[in-house]
Amino acid sequence: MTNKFLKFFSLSALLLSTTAFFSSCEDNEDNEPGIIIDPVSDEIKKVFILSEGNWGTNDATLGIYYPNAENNYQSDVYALQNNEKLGDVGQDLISYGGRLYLSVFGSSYLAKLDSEGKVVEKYFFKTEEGQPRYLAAKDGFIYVSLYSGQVAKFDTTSISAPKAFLEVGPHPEEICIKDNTLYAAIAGDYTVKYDNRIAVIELSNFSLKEHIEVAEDPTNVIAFGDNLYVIHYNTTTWAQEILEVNPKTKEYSVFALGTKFVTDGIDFYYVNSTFVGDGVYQTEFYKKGSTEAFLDLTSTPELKTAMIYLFNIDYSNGDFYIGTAGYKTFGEIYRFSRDGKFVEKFSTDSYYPNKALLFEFN
Amino acid sequence: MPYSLILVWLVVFCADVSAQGSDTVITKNLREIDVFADKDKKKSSIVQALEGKFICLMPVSEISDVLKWFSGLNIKDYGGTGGLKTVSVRSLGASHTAVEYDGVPVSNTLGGQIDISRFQVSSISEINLCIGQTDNLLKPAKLFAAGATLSINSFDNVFNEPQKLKVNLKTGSLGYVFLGADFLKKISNRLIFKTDAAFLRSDGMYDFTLKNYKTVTKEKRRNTDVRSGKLELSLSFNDSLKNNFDIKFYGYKSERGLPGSVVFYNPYAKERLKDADFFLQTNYKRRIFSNLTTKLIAKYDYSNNYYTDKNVMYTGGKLKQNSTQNELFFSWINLWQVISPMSFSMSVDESFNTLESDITDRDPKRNTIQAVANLRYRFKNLFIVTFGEVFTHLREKTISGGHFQDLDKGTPYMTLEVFPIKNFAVNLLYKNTYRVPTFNELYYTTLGSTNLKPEDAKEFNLGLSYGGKSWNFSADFYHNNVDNKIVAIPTLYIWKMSNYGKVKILGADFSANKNFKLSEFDIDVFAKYSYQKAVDVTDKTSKLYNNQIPYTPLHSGNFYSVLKYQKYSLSFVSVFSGKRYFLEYNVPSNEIEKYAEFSASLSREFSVKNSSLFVKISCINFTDKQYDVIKFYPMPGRQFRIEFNFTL
Repeated sequence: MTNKFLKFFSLSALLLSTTAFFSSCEDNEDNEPGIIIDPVSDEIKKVFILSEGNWGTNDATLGIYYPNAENNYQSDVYALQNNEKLGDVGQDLISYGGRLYLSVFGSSYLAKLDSEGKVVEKYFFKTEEGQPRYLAAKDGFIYVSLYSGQVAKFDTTSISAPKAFLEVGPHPEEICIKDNTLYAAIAGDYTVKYDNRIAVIELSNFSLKEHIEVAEDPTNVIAFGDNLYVIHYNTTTWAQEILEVNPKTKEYSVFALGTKFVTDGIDFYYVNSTFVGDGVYQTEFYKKGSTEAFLDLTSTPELKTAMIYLFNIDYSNGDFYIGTAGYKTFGEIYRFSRDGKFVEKFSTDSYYPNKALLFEFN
Repeated sequence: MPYSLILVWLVVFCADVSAQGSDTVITKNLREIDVFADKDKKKSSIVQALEGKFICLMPVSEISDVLKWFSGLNIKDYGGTGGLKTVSVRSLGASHTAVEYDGVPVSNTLGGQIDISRFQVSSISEINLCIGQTDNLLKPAKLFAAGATLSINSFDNVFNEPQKLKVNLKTGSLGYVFLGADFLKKISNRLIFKTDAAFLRSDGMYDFTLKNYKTVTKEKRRNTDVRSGKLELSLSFNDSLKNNFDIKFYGYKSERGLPGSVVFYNPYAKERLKDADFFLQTNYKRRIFSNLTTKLIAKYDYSNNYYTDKNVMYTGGKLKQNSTQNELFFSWINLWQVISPMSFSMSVDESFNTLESDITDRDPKRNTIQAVANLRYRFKNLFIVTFGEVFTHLREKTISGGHFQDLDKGTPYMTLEVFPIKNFAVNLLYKNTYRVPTFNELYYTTLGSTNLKPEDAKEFNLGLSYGGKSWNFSADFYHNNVDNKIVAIPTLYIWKMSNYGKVKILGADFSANKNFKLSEFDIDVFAKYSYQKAVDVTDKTSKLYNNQIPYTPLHSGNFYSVLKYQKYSLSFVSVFSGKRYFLEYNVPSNEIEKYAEFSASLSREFSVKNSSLFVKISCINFTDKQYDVIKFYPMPGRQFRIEFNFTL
């Protein structure tokens, strides 16, 4: 990770001294995404912004933010590149091996994109396979959690057909990989009852090893240090909590109230956004192991009362990306530097931005 | 959770014209004749109505097609014969509109909105829409409590033959078949028996054009079939002097596919909905003295809906949700003419509503007592003023968890009708109404919230109308406010119902119609235009402030005409709607295109011995316009229908 920081710092410095390349926004009559930027080179740093959209309205988008340029957000790059919209509910986005992988839940497909957002390949899940949720990648394979209760495995050389399916439990949500093990949060079929487990999958032979019992309705899981951190929904208090889980001892405890988390491998950050009524939230940001605020919100006080839907880190330089889900309005992205200073904000022109992903060259 | 599921549970179901000439029916301002009708009284009101014998000449297939011709009415049509259709008046919201069938309110405590697709066009004798206040004071309190009332009447009490049998057969595009039979028998001079049976089926599966950014494809709408059957048995006793008594049994069953919204790249749709509704209702009216009339209504209603969805995401591959509602409704109404220009009425209703459902384990039981007191004063032929107050006492309980708070509330209204010159009327209305949260809004799994308060609405209306011999004109200007609007709010992970919303509505409705004769042709022409600015005024700091609320066009209207020549009729209908937004945020990406739909029909009446045969061919949407009323619920394109009405 440190080598990548240096590599991208160097590239960024180089690019800042080269030409800018943006054209102005255009209005157009057909509600097409405005063409703001005409990218020149692939080496220019870009952060992809995935927005889920609303449910049932086919308004998921994939945009590009160029951190080192002015007038630097291009909304709905996917539509511009592919002449058709992303679809319904853009669920997850990862980059791997010089490609982007995207899961779209409502439209039920997995896509492989190039660095410009153009589709290289798509796989449409069959009805019996289930609709895709979250993604992870390792050793030339992409893993996808599916609402059928399975995790699918794809070979990145071609995603035209999945290599294997593995039953893991009802409604697996977020997945993450630690060492050679894949962990899946098993939320459960809410129409019957919530589940309370993390599935443990050996990647060497793609088999289900065991389940770790945690609290009900786990939805998100990431690895940090020796532990897993899981967000679950407490159906008694109606609050979301972060659990700290030891995968070896299988013990867990409630670490904090929290609704989103992110780690750069060095530090662990989380946010707690609670609804206090009348469309207003109470939001606090935390860094594990520190009582001091790591973000300076002086110039962005609105973040303290916003619903935080996106919380990511640019691993090249440690910048924070925080996305708000406006109440029935477009989401906005706030960028803070690693030392917590506000850099800039922009509207995504979309609903529910959920992922800011630096595009990496592996 | 499938979008359609939320849609179904938040939307679902169940759910006066005077003829100017002898054959033609013209929509005009009118007053329903109340019990103390005086031939010298002026007529004026805010009522729009259509008679069945006019509707049967028009290219309509469903009742929602008819309702699109009423000013101030916003129909949410989810497409196809089986698609759900709900009615909202002047952007108050569908739950503020009461629906009355043959004099008795229809209710849906589960979803709050009546699905009007269950009412058959062929069995309507009259349909009218009263915005604000009903003129007829001999009505249940429940109707006075609503922002508007849609009255559907199937029974024509003017019947002088010993018996009559009508058979209606319709068929056409998309596998549409309708068979209805209506039999009336005069058992005696005072007693009429009526039975009405209907069967409908349609495959749907219509083609539509899907525009996906720059990619345009031809698609087929699937899982949009419907089958329904209805049986009504009625007995009506009328001695025209003192007593009127009606009893009706109604049974309805349907099954339909729910196609859901169009999802790019994923046409999978397996949601199904079965409905059943049975009720027994009675109406008894008696003139006790020459100036005192009393009316009693009793109704028992059983309704059930059964929703299923097949998807691997469900345990066992299938989701089933069953809901049963029971309602017992009583109303006692008294109308007393105190002294000649003054009358007083009082209605007291009591209803008991229960719900047993898979969506909640709380088994709510609701007891509502509503009363209204009205005072009307007529001053010669110059003006009529009416004051009224509606009182509501509501108590609810559940077997577990919280329940809706106790409610004791009074809301007033006032109407003033002035007749400055002959054939001309001015009316003013102020009305304060509210609607209590539905069972869905209170108890539906994690979405419901028992902390909800009722939605409040205030209506102001100024209307002008002119009713001449051959033409009529009306203009209404209105201002409504809705407060504590019940909406779903995202609380990050789950959505919750909340009183979070204020809407301000300013609008104007204009309508005109004229009848004229050209040689042997008799022509009626109607035109309506509505302007409606309905904006969100919840939070001044929000970007949504002053945004037009969803599915409310600024401009809309319709035009229709009927040309008669001997036994032939040619009718033409057009409905247009300006652009509107399908989401709350008024940005170009949330716009739905404007549209205009045109339909026409040609009919002829044949006399066959002592019976008559009426044949009509229709072309609905003859320009094959591709449009959505609800975004991503495409409407069918061009359709043909042929109809036979045989009366014996």
